[in-house]
Amino acid sequence: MRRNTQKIFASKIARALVTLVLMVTSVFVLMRCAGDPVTVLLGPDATADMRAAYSGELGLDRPILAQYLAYLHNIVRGSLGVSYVYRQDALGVVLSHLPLTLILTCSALTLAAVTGVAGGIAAAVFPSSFIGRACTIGTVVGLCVPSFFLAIVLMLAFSIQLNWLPTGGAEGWRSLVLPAITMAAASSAVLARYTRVAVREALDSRYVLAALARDIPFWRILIHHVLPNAAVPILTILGLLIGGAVTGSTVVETVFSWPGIGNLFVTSVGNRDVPVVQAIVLLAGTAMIMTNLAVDLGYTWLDPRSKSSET
Amino acid sequence: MTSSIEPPHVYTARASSEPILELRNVDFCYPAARRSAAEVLGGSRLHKINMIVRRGKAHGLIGESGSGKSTIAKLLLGLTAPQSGQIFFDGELLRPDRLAAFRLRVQPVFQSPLDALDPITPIGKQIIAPLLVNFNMKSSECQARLAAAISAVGLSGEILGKLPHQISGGQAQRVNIARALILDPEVLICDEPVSALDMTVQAQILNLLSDLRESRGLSLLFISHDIRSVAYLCSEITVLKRGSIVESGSRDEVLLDPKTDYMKSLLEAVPNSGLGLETASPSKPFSRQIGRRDLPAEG
Amino acid sequence: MSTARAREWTWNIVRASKDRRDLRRPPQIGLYVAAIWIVGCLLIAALAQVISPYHPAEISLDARLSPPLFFGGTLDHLLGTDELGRDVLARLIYSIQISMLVAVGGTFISTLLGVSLGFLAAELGGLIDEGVMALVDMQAAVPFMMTALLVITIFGNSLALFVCLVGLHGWERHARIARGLALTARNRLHVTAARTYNASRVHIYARHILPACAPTIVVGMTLGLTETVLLESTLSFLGLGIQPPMSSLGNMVGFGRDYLMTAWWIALAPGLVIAATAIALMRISEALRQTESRSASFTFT
Repeated sequence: MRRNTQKIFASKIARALVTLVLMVTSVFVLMRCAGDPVTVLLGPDATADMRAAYSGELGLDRPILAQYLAYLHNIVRGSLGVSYVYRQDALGVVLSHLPLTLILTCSALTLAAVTGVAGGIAAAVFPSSFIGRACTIGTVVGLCVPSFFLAIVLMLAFSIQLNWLPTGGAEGWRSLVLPAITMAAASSAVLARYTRVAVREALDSRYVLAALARDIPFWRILIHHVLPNAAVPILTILGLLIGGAVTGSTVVETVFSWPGIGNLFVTSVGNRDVPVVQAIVLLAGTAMIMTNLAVDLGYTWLDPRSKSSET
Repeated sequence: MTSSIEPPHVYTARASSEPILELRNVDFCYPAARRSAAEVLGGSRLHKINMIVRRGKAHGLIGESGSGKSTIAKLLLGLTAPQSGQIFFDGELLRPDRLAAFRLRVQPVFQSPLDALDPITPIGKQIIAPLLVNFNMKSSECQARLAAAISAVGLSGEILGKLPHQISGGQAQRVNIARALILDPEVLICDEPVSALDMTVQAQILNLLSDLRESRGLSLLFISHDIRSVAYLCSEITVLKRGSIVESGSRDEVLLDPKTDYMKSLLEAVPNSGLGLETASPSKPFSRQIGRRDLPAEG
Repeated sequence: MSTARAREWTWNIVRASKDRRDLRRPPQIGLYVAAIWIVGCLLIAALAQVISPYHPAEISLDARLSPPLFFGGTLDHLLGTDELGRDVLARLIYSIQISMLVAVGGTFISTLLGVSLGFLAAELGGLIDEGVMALVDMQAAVPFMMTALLVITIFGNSLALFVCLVGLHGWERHARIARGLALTARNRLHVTAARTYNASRVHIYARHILPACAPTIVVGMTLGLTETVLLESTLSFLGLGIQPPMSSLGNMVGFGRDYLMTAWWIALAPGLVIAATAIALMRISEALRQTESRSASFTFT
């Protein structure tokens, strides 16, 4: 049994590594497809010296495999080219935007976790009451209304009509409220949906029936029997949401001019600032794969049944 | 077994005791990844299988579930290849490049007739599908062969437009036999063809197979766990136990004089013992010929 | 609350689900409205050139920023005009056309790609299977938005490229579903029977396996369509998708954002259309999933 678990862990880690290598490789292939990588990486207005130095570093005259290895070497060293908008190391530019994104993401995810799980439980426990219906409808709306539109509606209502909160920027907690709510909405809807299914499934099970027959009060059943069993899928979804947070933040940060990575991402794509985009993709992709792996491993750890299941 | 009333047929010109299908020292084991599928199909490993199906004869293959009967059927249909050993058809070694031609002459009849039909295609199209796939045939000729196949299995034309869920299990099995016959094969591999059907229908299908064998000179490999239907239909019987052959010979040898305890226990497990053959009551569906024509010694 | 009442209340909660399952007749009205909305959108998309009251690029400087009908506007411009005096309704109709084109085209491409790769993986197995599944894993692990933005940065943008790009979205789900269904279907007896009469692999997949998978794939397509609509509008909103002079629902909202203070209707009208379309599509896919009894499990992306 123990060896089995280790084997599964090893295979999952191997799979994540393969995915990582595939991602890095496909970025490399995409860059090569686009034409002369020196122009792509240094921008159209680089000097001849810079071009010569960089193409020497990349070894463009060498065979493609050697170039690929040089590219991997550069990634490992953390040298991802120079942003030709900021004229700085691309990775440094990206990392300098990281803290604000983390603040936004953390507050949004906290909000989403609380409202999503609460809403999901409410929708599962009281399916036909007003609260339950409201949660169900809220879920559909949260899933279907694109976040940029929600952002605009919120802005229209709270910033322009009521003038309570600023429309953008990152000064103080007041400017955090609307972006966090917008970003939380979609995640909260996803969470609520899965929580509802998981809790409902647990409520339908025989152990809950058995607990009821023993006259255990409902809140105790909920806390001791239902929630622990519903926890695994909920945690899985939460993990996936954390991994996707960087891309989730692009739209919200752009609409509210929140100077985080997402905003930088969109501006850089607009400027075709390839080194920065590449740095963000590699960074966020790695983060995503790592969280996926962590969720996977945690899932295996938590749920003994998943050990026997296939991929 | 009398062969006096054999009708004229292309393939019956040669001596009827000549082997048509032969397994020589066949070993087979499912690869680990497919083992679950193997268990579902009731198959398992096979060990040193030697078996001969003779032209124009019905050969019975008996064994408990899991003894490897269906695996032998899969091997003989070219659906999987043996790990070692050879399969000979008509004196020629079965090789991948001969598989297509081989399949034209060896056709299956499966256990669950409704599953063997595509649920969303009309019956008529399914019966002629083998012709369309294999030959570039004119539609008038297709229709002619379709009509011939249909009448050979005793179905009426109105079934052709129906979908599989609109027909009964017995009709479905007749459709399957018609689909197999439309290629005019020499051998039918019948893998438990009647065990999913109810008793009266079982008798009809068995009689149909028996008639087809006589009228067309078909060779049958009849795989079943039901000793009574094997006893009724087959002149030679092979007994399989956990992937090995434990007994083989003519029907009388195997059924009336079993040499192994395994076969004895199988015989004892038959309800209405004495095989239900000799002492069959008139209500027994396929008792009409048994004991008189087929088991003269005990009659 | 007395103990007896508490018990009754508790039992009601637990029983609720079973009662609901028996009465699970989806409210049909919502479904009809959703279907009518989608058919309407497709009709509008098909007939945009005929039914549009104005040309979408027609500028009338006299009627700039005129509000919609019931908010002080006139019958000339039902949904008002934008900063250049272009009719919002006309632009909306043309945007629906482009958005529908991209969404339907993208979904078609992704389904085709996903189903073919899934079938290939299922049939050939071995290294090809591993390779396809590794690609699927990668596509699922890296949010598509990121891939899309990277591709746009490197290759620039055009309508054809954009449709193909949108078509890359969601193929991994189709591939996973198609592979799983094919692995089951190819072991069904009627497929085995087809193999025994020399049917080729292409024949088996086209005639036997694809029809068996079709219902589930259609459910996946409606779900994919919802996501494609949202993806297209988001990218266009960010100014990275459909480029002017063409306009899609997303980039209408994007340009309308600049006039939010003075002319909210420019952004609100296309935004509402996007939301309504997505909700309608989701409703339809939900209903299809319920009717399709052998549905594959809902996969999260």
